[in-house]
Amino acid sequence: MSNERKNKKGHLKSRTKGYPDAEYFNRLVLENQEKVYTLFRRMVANHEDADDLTQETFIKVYKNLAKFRRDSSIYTWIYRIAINTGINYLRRKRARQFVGLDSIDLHAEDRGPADLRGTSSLLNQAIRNLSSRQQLVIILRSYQGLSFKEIARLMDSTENAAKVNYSHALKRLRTIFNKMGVNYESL
Amino acid sequence: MKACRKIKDLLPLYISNDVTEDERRTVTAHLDECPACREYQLALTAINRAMKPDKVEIPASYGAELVVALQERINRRIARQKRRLWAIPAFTSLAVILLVASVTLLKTRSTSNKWLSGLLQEHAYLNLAEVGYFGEILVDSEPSGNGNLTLSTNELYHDAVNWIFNNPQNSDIDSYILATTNLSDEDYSQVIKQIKNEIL
Repeated sequence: MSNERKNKKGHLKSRTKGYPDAEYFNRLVLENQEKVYTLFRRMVANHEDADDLTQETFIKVYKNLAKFRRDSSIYTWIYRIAINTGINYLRRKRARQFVGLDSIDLHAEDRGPADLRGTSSLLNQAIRNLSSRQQLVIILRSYQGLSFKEIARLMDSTENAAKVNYSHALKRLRTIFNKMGVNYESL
Repeated sequence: MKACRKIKDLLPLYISNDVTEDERRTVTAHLDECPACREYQLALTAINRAMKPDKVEIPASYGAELVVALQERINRRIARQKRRLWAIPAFTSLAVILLVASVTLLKTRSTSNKWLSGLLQEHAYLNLAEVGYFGEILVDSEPSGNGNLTLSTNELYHDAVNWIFNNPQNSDIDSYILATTNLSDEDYSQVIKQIKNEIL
């Protein structure tokens, strides 16, 4: 592909001096937007926030595209940028508004089965109470179906650390659901 | 209890089939004889089951809209960068021009001040007297016609020149001369011209 010409250092070369090639960049966006958006949509409560984070990710891709070295696939590189963007977002959000266990709707079960019909809403609420790394590991492992090896590579971590994060996350979810009085058979 | 803690740490990975064969055997054997850990396992299994991958709904036009939104942001960014690129040399040029102008102005002013301070008032007066303006004025203006410059008139002109040199920036030079002499229009113009040539 002519758009993927590389210079002597192995960096991607752009047709427009100083700026990445627009056609190539747009193709990257279209090919990867679904995975990136899906990741964020599980992390945040609404489309607008997921869209903001997706745009932020691709702007970072655009700014750094010329520096991308083919040590990994472009998909892995983009996904890694998305994950870092997500971690930063969760940290910022946590710093602004600490959500403790006590703030979770502990009396949901008192209002009857109707409130428990939305299992995914209940789960999302509980997942957002995890630490940023635990949230991401749960999303990548349980929802995106990635292996711990892939998760470790994406999060610049070790496979063992990813497993420990996952294990702690699942146990913490149990604690949260116990506090909510959730009947596990309803899940 | 210690064994239970270890099993509980392994259970999330046991449920998701991410344990080694040895770990699997250990956990299975423990679950057979520990009701508390079995209960724990049931809870984790239910949570894990609830987190089955489901498809996130993405608006059909999202990809195209995203490309457009990103392109707009990038264009704004490029425009900002170009403005910045243009602004840097423009501001640099302006700064250089201002610097050169300031230096030139200071230099000119310094030369002018030196010239003015170096010029003796008497010398200037003598220059004016030498070219004959005071004499002509005297002859024309003195009814006695003795051809000499009277002391009072001489002092008057001397004062006028002093005043001019002491106040080189004064804009009322012309009116002062006019008020302190009785020159004809023609003489007045010549005196002013001469004074301007000498000191300004």
